[in-house]
Amino acid sequence: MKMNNQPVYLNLFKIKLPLTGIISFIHRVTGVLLFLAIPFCIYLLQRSLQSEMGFNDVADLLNQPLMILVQVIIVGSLLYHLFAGIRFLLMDIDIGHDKKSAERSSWMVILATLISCLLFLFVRFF
Amino acid sequence: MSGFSAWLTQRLSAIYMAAFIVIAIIWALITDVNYTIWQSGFENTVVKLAVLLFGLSLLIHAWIGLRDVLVDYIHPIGLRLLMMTLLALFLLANGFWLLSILWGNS
Repeated sequence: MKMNNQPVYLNLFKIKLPLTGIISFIHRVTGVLLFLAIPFCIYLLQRSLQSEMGFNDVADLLNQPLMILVQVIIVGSLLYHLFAGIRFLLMDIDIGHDKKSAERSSWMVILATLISCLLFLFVRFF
Repeated sequence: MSGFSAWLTQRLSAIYMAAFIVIAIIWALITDVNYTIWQSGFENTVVKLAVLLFGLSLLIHAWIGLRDVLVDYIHPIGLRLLMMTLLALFLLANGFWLLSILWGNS
């Protein structure tokens, strides 16, 4: 039996994902983004603990327009990764494993991320 | 690390980090953070150990996660091994950097 049409490798441009697959893929993308943010965060921690001046420098730095964007990307990624991760952990213990609940919890992850991002922006800037 | 132990480590580190982050957010919301509070907080040994454990969890979590990403998308075995080595060195360097901040004299 020939199986010519099976993909032999993951071509990201040829795969059409259902919502639950998209949730999983974004979990991976945000994971990579958070990984890239590690040295930046350690640097900020180091500066903030060095001296009062360093602490204030970090505060000033985080108020620059470009850094606000970076911050929103990092915090947004973290919140998404957290919510989608909790969803996966619940599925590990067999909660929400059927198709209908998996789709509903996917929307809950998106909604929770959007709401918590807005709350972050509100607390941070108002 | 492979199979079940990687699976379990990924989840245990995730649970610790999730709890840490929730507590950190609550702390930040109820505290008017300034340098004195921030700096003296990081002199507390319990805080240091909790942050160090967070750092270790993060590095091992990132190692397992990024290794899976490399295995899925990087197919030439030599390039994959090279990237895994660089990944491991990068994570270790970050770990020692964090350690030096928490217990260093700087």
